[in-house]
Amino acid sequence: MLEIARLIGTRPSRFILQTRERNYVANSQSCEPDERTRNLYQAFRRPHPLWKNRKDACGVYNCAGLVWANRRTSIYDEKEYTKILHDDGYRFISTEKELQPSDIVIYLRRTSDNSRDTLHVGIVLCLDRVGATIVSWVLSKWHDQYGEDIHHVNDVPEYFGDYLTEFYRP
Amino acid sequence: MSMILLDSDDIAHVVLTIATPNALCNILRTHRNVENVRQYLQDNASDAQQAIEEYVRERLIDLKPQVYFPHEPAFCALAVALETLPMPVAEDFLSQLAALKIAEMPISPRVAAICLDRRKSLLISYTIKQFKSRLMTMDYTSSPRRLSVIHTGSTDLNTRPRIQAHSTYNRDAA
Repeated sequence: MLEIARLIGTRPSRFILQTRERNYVANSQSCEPDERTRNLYQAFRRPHPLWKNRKDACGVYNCAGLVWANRRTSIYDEKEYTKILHDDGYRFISTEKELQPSDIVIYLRRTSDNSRDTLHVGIVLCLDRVGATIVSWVLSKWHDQYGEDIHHVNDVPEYFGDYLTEFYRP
Repeated sequence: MSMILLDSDDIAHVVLTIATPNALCNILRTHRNVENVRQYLQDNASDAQQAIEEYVRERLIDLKPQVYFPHEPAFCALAVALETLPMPVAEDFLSQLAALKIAEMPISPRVAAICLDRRKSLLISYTIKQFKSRLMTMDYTSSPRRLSVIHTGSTDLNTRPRIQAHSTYNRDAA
């Protein structure tokens, strides 16, 4: 059924990427988006007028690739995220009040068996202090085909549902 | 008509935003369009093979080298829709997609692999459930084999033909 895809498709190119502990991080570079996907990205941004666009739809890297691989490749697997957090000595930050620029935010959901489902990863870009309230702005690359946007930490796509946020400091 | 639901922009946005294939599968499992397609295929099981093959073939026309495959979100959704359907075509699609390693489709093979794993674990748990329910209904006291164990103190293993009479294991050498 998918024989034609195997014949036409090209081999995914991988990048040599290791953690501080020299453990290999599985990754692959994605192709550039087609015209339909570029148009979808514009439609995707429409319900979020406060988002500031930083880069148009592009391939190669995803959100994890932006955070952990300098926009060079995409990292897709949950266990790789855990490996990086552990091996690179990330420290957990318990409250949003303690955030500093360059910290990272992980959007996740807990499944019925209490395992983690990472939805998205972003970088804390800046913090606006309005009285006692802190407004955190996050730089996100939406998956491996959409673009980069700067957005409020809680201004995220609606299908994130009842998400949790975790903050880490490198 | 129903399979076209997988081409919706909403499904595309979900697939093109969620970072990990695990999370993506969990979200797509409860997506209305995916549930509708699964129901449609279940209700039209006799035509399902043809419908799925046609759907896949028509979309693969748009596959171009070095460019993201525009129907990948639909293939992810189709994989999740087929996950629990007891049809050979579902198994074929999932195993072929899971084995595909091409740059144009980075996510759907990962999604298909998760769906295959879940399909296997569901099959195992269903088989165990069936086995347990058969044990519950079985009347042990009327089983002649069981009675022979009680009376003679030997099991039927003693009477089965042996394939190998002597052990080749050399105890001295070990």
